[in-house]
Amino acid sequence: MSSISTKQGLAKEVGALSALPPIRWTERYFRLLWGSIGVFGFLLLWQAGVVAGLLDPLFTSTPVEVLLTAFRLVPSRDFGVHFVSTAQSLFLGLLIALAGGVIFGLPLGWFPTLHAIFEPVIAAVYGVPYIAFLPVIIMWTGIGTTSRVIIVVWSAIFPLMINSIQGAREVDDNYLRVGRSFSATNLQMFFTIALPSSLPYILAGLRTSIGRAIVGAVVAEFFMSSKGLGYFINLKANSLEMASAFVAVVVLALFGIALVSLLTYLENRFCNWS
Amino acid sequence: MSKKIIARNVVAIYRGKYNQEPVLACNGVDLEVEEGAFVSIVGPSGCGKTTILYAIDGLLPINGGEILVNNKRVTGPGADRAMVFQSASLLPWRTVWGNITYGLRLQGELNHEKVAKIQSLIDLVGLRGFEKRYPSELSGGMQQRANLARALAVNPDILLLDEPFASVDAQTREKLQVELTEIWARTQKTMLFVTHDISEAVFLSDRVVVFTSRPARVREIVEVAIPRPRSLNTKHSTLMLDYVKRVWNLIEIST
Repeated sequence: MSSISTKQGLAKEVGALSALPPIRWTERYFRLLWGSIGVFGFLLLWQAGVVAGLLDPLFTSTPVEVLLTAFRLVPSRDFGVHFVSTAQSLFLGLLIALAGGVIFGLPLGWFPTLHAIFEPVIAAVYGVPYIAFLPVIIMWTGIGTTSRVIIVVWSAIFPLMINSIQGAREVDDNYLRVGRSFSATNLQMFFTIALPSSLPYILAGLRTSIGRAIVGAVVAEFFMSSKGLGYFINLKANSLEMASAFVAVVVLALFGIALVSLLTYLENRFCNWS
Repeated sequence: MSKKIIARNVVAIYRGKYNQEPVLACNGVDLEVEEGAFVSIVGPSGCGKTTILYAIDGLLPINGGEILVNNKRVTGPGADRAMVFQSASLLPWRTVWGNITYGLRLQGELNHEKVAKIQSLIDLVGLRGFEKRYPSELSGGMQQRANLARALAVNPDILLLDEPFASVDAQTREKLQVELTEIWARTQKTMLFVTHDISEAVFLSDRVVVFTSRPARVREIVEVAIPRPRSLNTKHSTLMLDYVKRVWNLIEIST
């Protein structure tokens, strides 16, 4: 311990540190390295399985075929139309779900009476698999872009509402007391304390909602659409054009990953304190 | 010297949050604080010291008696009083600067001149260079400094301090005590300080008010005639130890 106390000692310490072996890049990128090996290995097995005759390419396609199809499909206008169609209903639906979930959820968590009234209903409905409701909703809303958005909203809104409720309930009393001691109005209490405090909860809810929204959008398209990636996958799978279907699946997955990455960025930017 | 705070025969009932049994915290507290004085309240644990402080700040309604600040009845929090809470309670999503200017922002009174004053306030509490940090990056002592600065920033007549140094380590606490006396000497604010630490109370104050155990009344008021300015050396002087013994005995009798 006393090696640091003198200037000589410090020089010795620094010297010792620089003599440490440098970190090998295999250690630094450990997870990336092995993760890539895993994925590549899986693709290799897949291709090998088809070549060896264990897998029927009519049903499973091959990685190579999927890749080649991707190069043809992704830049094409046709595919672009489907992609945009799904993306539109996703974004619109998520936006509405976010607004609705927060606007309804925060007061519900804040006012004990409201919470007592609505919480059992929400918990009960949330317990039912949301996809089970879809045929019913389709009957109510009919076929069309609006109903697709409604289904996305239905799929996405519950985690957002429930998390907003939680966020509002768990606003720390200490912070509320600070606001009151500085004579904050109710509106000020909401915007300067309740809302920032709930933000991590809301963003966490958004994380779940993104996944559910994508499922909702795709399933809605299975049932009643003529456009969109879900429709595309259904169409291509039914015609045994598996490679095209897989391409669309991968595109959807990448889309979901992109959205969640955006969310992670927002969380790091605005919720670093929690 | 005008009386800044007058509490007469205050009765206060404290209601816990989750439908707990209401508790009679204060039963006939009489208290007076002159302008510019530093007064401490000590007493057995849970006796109602914090309750009376919150009542004076207007955060708690009282059930009997009256509290006058600047000869006006207290009906709620106000710009003439500011509280320094026990846990720093800095809003974690705001920077140090954002926290210290919080009260001013709420009042809509943050402008260029104020900015310069805030900067000198930050220097006064020793947080220069930390303005852009977040509370989670600060030590306990630094958080309490920011807590203090936040209360001073709205320029209240009266500062109410609720055991602000309770959760700070002993060495930092002594440092902060000295700094507090210096800040008090410089700003000349009226300060009402609640603490469990008797030597802290004697060291800081002109007068120490000893509460009985719950339901609280004022047992006795001890005038601390130790000359100012007081340094850390004063803490070990016989004069100081005598006062501490006196206050201790008063509390012993109460419990």
